[in-house]
Amino acid sequence: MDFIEPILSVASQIYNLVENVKANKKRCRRVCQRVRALEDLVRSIKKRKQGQNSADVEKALRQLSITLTSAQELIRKYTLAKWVERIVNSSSHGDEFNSVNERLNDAFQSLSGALQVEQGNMLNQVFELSSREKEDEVDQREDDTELKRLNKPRITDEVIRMIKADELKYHYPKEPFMTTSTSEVYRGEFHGFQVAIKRYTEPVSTSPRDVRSIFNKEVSTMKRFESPNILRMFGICFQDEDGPSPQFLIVMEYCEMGSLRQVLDKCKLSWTSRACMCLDAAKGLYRLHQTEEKSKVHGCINSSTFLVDKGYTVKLGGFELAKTETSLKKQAKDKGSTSLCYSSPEMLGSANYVYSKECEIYSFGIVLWEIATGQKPLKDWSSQDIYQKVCKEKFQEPLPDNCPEALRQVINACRDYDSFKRPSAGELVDKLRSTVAQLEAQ
Amino acid sequence: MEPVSLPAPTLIEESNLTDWKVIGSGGFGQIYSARHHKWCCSVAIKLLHYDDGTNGSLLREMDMMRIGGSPFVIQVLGVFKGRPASSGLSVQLGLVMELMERGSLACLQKTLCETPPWPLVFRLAHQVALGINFLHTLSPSVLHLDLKPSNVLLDSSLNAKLTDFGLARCYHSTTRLSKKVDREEGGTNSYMPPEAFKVTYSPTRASDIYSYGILLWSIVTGKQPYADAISSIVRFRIPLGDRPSLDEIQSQAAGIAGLRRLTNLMEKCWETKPNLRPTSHECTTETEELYKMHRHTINDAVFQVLKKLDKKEEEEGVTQQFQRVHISQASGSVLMLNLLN
Repeated sequence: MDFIEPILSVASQIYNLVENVKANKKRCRRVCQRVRALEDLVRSIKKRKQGQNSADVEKALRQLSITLTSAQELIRKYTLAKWVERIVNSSSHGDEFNSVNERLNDAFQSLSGALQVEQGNMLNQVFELSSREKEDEVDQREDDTELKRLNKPRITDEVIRMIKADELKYHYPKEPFMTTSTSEVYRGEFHGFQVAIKRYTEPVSTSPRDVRSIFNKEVSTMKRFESPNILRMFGICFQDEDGPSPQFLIVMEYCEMGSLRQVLDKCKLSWTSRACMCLDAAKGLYRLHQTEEKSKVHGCINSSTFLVDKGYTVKLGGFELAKTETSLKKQAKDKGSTSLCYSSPEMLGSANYVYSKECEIYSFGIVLWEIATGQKPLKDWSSQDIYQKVCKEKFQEPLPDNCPEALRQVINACRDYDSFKRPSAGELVDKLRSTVAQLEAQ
Repeated sequence: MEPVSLPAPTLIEESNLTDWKVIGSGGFGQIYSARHHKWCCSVAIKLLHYDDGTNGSLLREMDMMRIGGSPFVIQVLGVFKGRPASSGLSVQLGLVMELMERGSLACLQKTLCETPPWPLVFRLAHQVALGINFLHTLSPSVLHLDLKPSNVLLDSSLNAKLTDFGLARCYHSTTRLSKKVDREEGGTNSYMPPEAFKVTYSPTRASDIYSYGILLWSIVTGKQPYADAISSIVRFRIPLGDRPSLDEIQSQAAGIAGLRRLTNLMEKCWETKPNLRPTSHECTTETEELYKMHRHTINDAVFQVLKKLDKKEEEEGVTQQFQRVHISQASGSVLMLNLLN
């Protein structure tokens, strides 16, 4: 087992680094504690005889190794004085820890699954969901107090609910900043948050009562996706509900910079910011694909479903309240004009192919390619051309020569012709985090 | 374009209608149920959202539907003109139709989440064929052009009738439709024949037969065709020969009388070449024979499904499971406007 020694060595480096962190001490120590727990598990594997370990164990170890390297990079940041200043002003460093902790937990789940470790032992307690969440929250509060960060109201404190029309304040002049064939989007304010208010302009194909029941059902069953990389939904609002043409509004987080596509069209970006945007996007996707409970797929990943806020944080949108939104649109959604450039080779090969996470990772790889190049994928290609090239000739659009090697590898792996070889969203987060740390260090 | 000369439609005024309830919506208007107190029964009323001059399509649809007279095609009872209770001020036009208590086949599929009992499958297959055959044997033929589960409505005993003539037209061999018109009026991709994706497409009776083939697949499996594919892929793959998968059906076919023959019919209907598809008459004769094999157990099957539907309804506390008809927006002739204004 040649994975074990490197894992143990990275672990011990993490312990050393933690002694020297200058910020976020509590959370760095917590990561450290969890790594120690995993180390025990890894040592127990080491004691076993060769050949006793299944392919599952090896796979879990390989994953863990990537996760640890990425955790190490994260902690190293907080040992450097210049970072302390930067993070005081940033709003998303809390999430870095969340995703590292989630990855460590994933590693624990798959390792203990592969080893068939008994439930209810000491190790399990370290990774038990409710206590993890509590610990992490306390840690964050204490770390933030130390950094004297202002305790701003958090966007996720608001529950998704029915909103009354008078709770919404519109910006004047009351003109939409975006118009699509089915909707107009206005800027406004809701309980102190900057929001986008989407108003459906077409006569809808569902009665208000049905919309209400779909909404209530969806909110009650929906897993809350609390992440800075997922577009936050606040709720829906009815206007003129009993009238002849009732109107429906969806209230969501406002993203100043618009869609990822718009940002790529107008901004010149360094490789570091491009890699950061890739990492943000991957974190959004990982939150959705994550293994706990029932994992979900998005179903429509492209550069317009990601939005960008004023701090250039990328957020995945378009799936919270997806059922409610669909009920507000006319049934004939698209007229077949959507490009096939995000469709994986296996989707192009059959109309009966069952959509999977691997298909989604392919689409995501195309989005990453767009972030890296700024260009539009397979521009002006016909369906026939796309099918011939992508599905038959296994074509990948090239990346520029100056693209950092680590980033190139990640993007090409996502676009692999063989769906089996594409990475999971979790692996993507790990690899991109390391990539970003490397670029930032340069 | 006018198929037959029609008598003036019966005007139904708002004073005759009480208890308005929204039961669904279509592309250009909501659908209500209301009680006609002189007739002592409930009716369905399809209203326009706005009186903005798009009445043409509604009126054309009405023309198409008034040629009725088949138990397998929805009956239009008259024209509504007035201010419905909830609509405020404006005078609106609407179609008054018989009310189908059990909603659409699409609703049934959604509620059941599985194939209905086999006798009901074979009866649905046969009754839909009867509806299409009725339209195709009119002189001139009427093409439905938007056959799909949401356009098959079910009465209190789950008998099927075709509805939504928003896209229907009379068949004249000389009529050519440009692609643009086809796109705007569009049917539902998954049910559209391969020839419909070509630049020059003139719908024929065989277009409906293709959609019937796909509809048969949906009736048998209880599923939607190409559920995971985006519509661009569907548009692209259908002309290449992709059709819904028969694997699941074939694994059951040995145990169910007539299922193999029904599958063969399905495949013939969705042949790529229109001239290889059967006529509606051939379809109907075949489904009639197949339905005969299951007829003796149809009452049990219907009862079983109705019980299930009632239970679901109770659970969800939803008082209605009526039709949710989707009406595609279609611009058409303004035949009846003058008559009504």
